[in-house]
Amino acid sequence: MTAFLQQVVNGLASGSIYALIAVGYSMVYGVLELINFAHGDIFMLATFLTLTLILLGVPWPLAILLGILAGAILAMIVERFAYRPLRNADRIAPTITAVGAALIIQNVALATWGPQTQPFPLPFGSGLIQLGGVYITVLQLIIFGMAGICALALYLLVQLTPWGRAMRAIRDDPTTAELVGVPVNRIVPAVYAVGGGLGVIGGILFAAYYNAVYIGMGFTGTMNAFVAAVLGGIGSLKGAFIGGLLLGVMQALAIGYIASGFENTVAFVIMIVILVLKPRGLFALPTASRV
Amino acid sequence: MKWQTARSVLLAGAVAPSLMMGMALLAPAHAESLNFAVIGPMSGDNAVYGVALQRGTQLAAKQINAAGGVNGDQMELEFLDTQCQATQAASAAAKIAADPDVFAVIGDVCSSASLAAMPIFYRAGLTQVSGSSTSPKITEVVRDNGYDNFARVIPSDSQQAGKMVDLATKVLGKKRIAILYASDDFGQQIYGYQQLAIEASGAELVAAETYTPTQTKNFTPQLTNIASAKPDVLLIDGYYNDAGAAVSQLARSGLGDITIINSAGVDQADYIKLGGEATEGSYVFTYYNPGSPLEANRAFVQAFEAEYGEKPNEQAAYGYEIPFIYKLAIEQGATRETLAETVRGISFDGPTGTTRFDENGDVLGKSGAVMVVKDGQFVVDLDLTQAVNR
Amino acid sequence: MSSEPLLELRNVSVDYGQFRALDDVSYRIMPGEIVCLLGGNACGKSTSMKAIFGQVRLAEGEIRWRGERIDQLPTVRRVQMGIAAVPEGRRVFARMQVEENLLVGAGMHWRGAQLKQDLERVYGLFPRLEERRLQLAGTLSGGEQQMLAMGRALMSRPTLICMDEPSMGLSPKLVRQSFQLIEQIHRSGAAVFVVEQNANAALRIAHRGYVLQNGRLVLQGSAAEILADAGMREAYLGRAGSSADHHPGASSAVPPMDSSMPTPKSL
Repeated sequence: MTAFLQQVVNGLASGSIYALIAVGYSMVYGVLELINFAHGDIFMLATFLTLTLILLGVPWPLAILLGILAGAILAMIVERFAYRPLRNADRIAPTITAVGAALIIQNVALATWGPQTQPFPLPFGSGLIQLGGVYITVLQLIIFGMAGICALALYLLVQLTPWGRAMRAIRDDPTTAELVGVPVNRIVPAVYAVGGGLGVIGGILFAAYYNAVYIGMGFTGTMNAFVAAVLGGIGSLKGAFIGGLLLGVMQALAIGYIASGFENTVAFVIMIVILVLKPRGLFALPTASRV
Repeated sequence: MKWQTARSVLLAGAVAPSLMMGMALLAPAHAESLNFAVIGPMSGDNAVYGVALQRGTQLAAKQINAAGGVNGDQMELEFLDTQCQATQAASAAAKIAADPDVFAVIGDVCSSASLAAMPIFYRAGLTQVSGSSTSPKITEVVRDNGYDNFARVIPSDSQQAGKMVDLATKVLGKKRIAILYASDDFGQQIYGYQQLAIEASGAELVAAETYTPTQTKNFTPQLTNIASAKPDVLLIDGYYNDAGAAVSQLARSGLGDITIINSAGVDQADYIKLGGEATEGSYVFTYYNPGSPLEANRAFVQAFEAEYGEKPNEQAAYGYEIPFIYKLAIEQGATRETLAETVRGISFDGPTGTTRFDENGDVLGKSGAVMVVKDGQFVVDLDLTQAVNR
Repeated sequence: MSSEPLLELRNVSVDYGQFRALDDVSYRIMPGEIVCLLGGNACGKSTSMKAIFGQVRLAEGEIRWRGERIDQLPTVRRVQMGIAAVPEGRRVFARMQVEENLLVGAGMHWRGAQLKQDLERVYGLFPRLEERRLQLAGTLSGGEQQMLAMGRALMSRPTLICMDEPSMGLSPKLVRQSFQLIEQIHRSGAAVFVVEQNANAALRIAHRGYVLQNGRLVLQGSAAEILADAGMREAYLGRAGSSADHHPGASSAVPPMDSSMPTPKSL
């Protein structure tokens, strides 16, 4: 029982990281229904940058803030040059430019930092809290805290601000949004920036939790975010968040109790099963039906 | 690392025509080149192994050529990157097999890659000697298919598995063993032999977990299971970056202080870099002892350090021996066609000791070494090394 | 009434590739007017709307707002200047609440008191919207969605509201209601530009009108003049309320522009 709870706690920690990455991903998907293949690579590059800044002696909070900022700017650049010129094109065209942007970012990172996996130092020791035999580390508490704060902040931003309303209006109907005065060309880059920034927070926590910064983390992140977002109902932020948590817990339990070599298989099996049962995901947005 | 491969290919392309012209005008008739193809992971997650192999073989070729070559011919090496992947190894092998100028092959590093390349070299009649592919499956494949063109200078993991278990039980006196193994050819095979060895030793295997090499980054689910079984020793059958991540996550998740014994190949500086303090006191069992007092080893270590400014590792040492073994076989009269047969009958003294082969091309009578991480450095633990070889 | 037009299109042409969708058309809308743009399918009505809001590029001509050229400005700027749209098919944000729809129409500002005042004004005009303010817009009836689309347009405090086919897809009863709403909006002070296929309904409330055919203006004048035009009567008005399809005979029925075009009257 203790081992089971421990797996759940650990799974929730991974899941919180997936959730942050998935929410950023789903947000960008939601607003223009474009799959942002570059999402993972954006946070990969920003995480490398954060690591480099830390190793150069930049104070931790500043390095992380600069990393988030870099991710946000990079996401806006990708939006501006890879997506916006194709906004009215066939859906396949921006998908291809997205893959292209992802490859460019990967190669820049590869040329800058090399193919080796790098460790991610922690500014604190490995403190532990024991709750009835279950261990929770300081890092896990930070992960839970960050995921909670980001989720709450995002909820408030999307539900209660003009900015969030504008974003949801674009998600419902971009042409009409523009026609009734929503500055689409300002909101869309901002959505990419916020999505990219959330991805970087997820990426830094990913690097810290797994003690690994490497080129492939972007792809892994995009894949898990994709599964989490589909699981929760793509385009729904709540769905992506809960989908991420679920994915983390189910992966941990599957590795712990079914077969330990199957983590990626597990992710896709879970996704397929849920899509068979609920084709639109667990928390699908209501259809934009018109009377 | 890619540029090194690219450079050697470019050089080969640029040098070949000028050599042909030079032959007619200047060079004496014997200055021909003897070409060897070296396959290994020159880039990607296992590039450290490929680069070590490259450095070892390059040093050997340089020394051989400086001493007059092989029967007067200069030894030339061509490096092909396989990234430890079966598909890339197969396509590299096909490329090599189509080139009549290649005399023989060195490599691959990873067993999965070697296994993919073996049938292609066999059909092409090319001799292949690996310095790092340790999967016991290779012995089976060689025996079952009659691949008499293959030999390896490093012992099979069936031996290593027994030695790691001996180190845990007989030498360190541990009773409850946990295993974390890679889900590839190497990991699954060594895990199987370890199970047998543990059964024979009277100790208990309390947990066994697997992971996908280079893809698994989150080891906490596996480590949670392992920790809840309360082992007193953890054997890790994997690669340096995976082992580094696993060991550091074990420490970061506070799952307990367990003695760790890593399989050969983890003894890379990156293991310590990635794992940090958590690696302190962990062991690596290896088939090469850089501190070995053998004269051949002392000379090799000195030359290697002079050339590259760092200590050689297992892949470098075994890689270094292969060109010399080829040289010896050719000097004993081997042709391209009879090379493998001659190699298998050879006795060669190198930095890793004496190399002889059995009927499956497996090396005989190598002794292991136990390395321990001390103050952030790998050092040979002489007492444990002696004990494990007893 | 001021003599300077609010909105003026001067000799505007729009091309879709090889196809000229609008050919040298000129409209002017004076402050406080209701002006209708009539015509069948694919005659250039929607393209005129898109041109006003900058959603298509002009091949020729210019668009002026209170005398100032706006044809290079982005859509958002034009809305901020005081032109509001009630798009074809209403296009409410179905997955957002009624009140949120209205707030989107108010733009990106946090303006507490003013926003509240604007909301109250819209709720005063359309009490039904206030009753349903927390309901998802997609669950409203067609007539309620029409109110919402109009309310949303009013939230930007426009001086001109452009309505694209307000009668489309509505039952005759709702069509009547819809045009009553337009008059209501007009009474609240804004000029209205209505693009309609239902010429009868539109001319009943409009001061002036323009008739488009195959991208060209074929008739313009006061509502009464257009109603009196023989060709017009034959082409559209005889089929009151159901003139949804383009009548192939219309081009011959309408007299050539130079001979019968009435001079626009200033109201």
